[in-house]
Amino acid sequence: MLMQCVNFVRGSVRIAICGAGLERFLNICAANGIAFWGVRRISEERMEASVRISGFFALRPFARRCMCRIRVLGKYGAPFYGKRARRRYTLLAGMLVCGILLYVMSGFVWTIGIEGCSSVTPAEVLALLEQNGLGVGTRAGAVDVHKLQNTILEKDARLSYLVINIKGSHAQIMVRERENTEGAIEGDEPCDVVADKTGVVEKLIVRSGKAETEVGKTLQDGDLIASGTMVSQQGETWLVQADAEAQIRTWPTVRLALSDSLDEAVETGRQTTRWAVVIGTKRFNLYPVESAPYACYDKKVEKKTLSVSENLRFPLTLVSETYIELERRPLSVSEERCSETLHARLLDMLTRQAGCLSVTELGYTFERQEGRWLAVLEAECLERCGVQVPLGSAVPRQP
Amino acid sequence: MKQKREKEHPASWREQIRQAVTEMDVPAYAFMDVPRIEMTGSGRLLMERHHGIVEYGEQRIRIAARGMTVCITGRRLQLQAMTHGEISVTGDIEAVQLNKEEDKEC
Repeated sequence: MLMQCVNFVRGSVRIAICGAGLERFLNICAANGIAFWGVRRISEERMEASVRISGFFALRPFARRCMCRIRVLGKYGAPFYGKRARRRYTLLAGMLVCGILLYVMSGFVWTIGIEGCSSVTPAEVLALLEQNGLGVGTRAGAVDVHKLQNTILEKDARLSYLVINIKGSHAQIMVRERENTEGAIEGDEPCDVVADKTGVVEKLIVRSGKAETEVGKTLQDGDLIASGTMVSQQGETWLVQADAEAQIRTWPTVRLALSDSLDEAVETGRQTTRWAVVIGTKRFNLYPVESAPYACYDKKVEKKTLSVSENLRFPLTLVSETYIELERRPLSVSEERCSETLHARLLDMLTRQAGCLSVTELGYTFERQEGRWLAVLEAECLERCGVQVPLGSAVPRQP
Repeated sequence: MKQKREKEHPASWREQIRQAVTEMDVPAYAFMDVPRIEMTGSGRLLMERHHGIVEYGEQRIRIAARGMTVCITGRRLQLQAMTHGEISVTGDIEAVQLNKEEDKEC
């Protein structure tokens, strides 16, 4: 394959050699440094072979010496194609313009990828970038990456880390968000630990501070678990940063309701595809009518961006939108299936609750009330409990 | 008696080099003009240090080398490439025969 490419670039000539001393001719050629390949014996006095252009011109004296005749069968390779295209001025101009365009356009940012977003949306990061001078169509060389990173981090306090990598025409943005530390105690500031849930204490670990509750006791939201105010036997008081963790048993109840008259969307089998082209940030619709083709539909959007490699992408995107017509039909669901679905969803809701360690189900009821299905799940959970609050902010519990 | 015979018929310098090279455990083709033949399966044969083609056909190719002729027989044999030092033969190779006497047919 590699040799084929090299031969194409250098150019080759396919020749037919006729005469009596064909072997002698081959030997003389080889001895004089004329390389040839693809030798094929056609008959006793005829042979075909391929030689390079330079070798072809050196062949003639040896052919005469061996009483052989050489006939050209074909010319292949870039030099011959180039010669043929020499007078096709429009083609050459097109190639030149294409090359210049490619060079110029590869100096701009055409695609921006953002990763690492969780609470901050990619659209917000894009807007921030655009406000500070990096958007689709910005010249890559004009972007001061370090300055831009610092500016964005200063402007948006939610971001703790931002990296901009511009490779070719693609800008890759990596974002890390600041953890929510609202209300958290900083450094060694003295504090108390209070309950943030209601339940019975199953396990208590106090790492620093004075324990204010014990296993088996009931905790209510706001009750003191560990105090940061410690008094010694000598009556001295000193303040510490309390650190404690309690595991409590809770009995949460979750409810879900479902209407007994349900509809389902069924595909009618009809669908329409619309095409659009996005150049840079401008969208050009390739369809005359703007309105949606059906009253009720599902839409699938596919985008194909023109790119040579991962880092060299062009601002040309082909968008295809497929509208699938849907029809609403009443759905008949059995009571049993409805009950199973609601039960699964209720269990899912319970396990998603923050701090929930394990769920032990107690009871599940499913009944029809006022034209709807009502499902109630009463469960027993083990949950983590305890948050740090500034000293003295715990509400004293009424006896 | 033996010494006298050695004086009368001394070993040729080529033979002496061959013996020295063998003793040094160095590949002979690195120093001497001997052919080196490399085969890949039965579809390709590469020969270095040849002395030219004696006969070329689709069923048989004979290549000259120092002190021998290499005869390659098979079907659809083709000279894929040939330079001053190397020859590459492709096709369905059935046999490779070395003939010490150069004129001997294979």
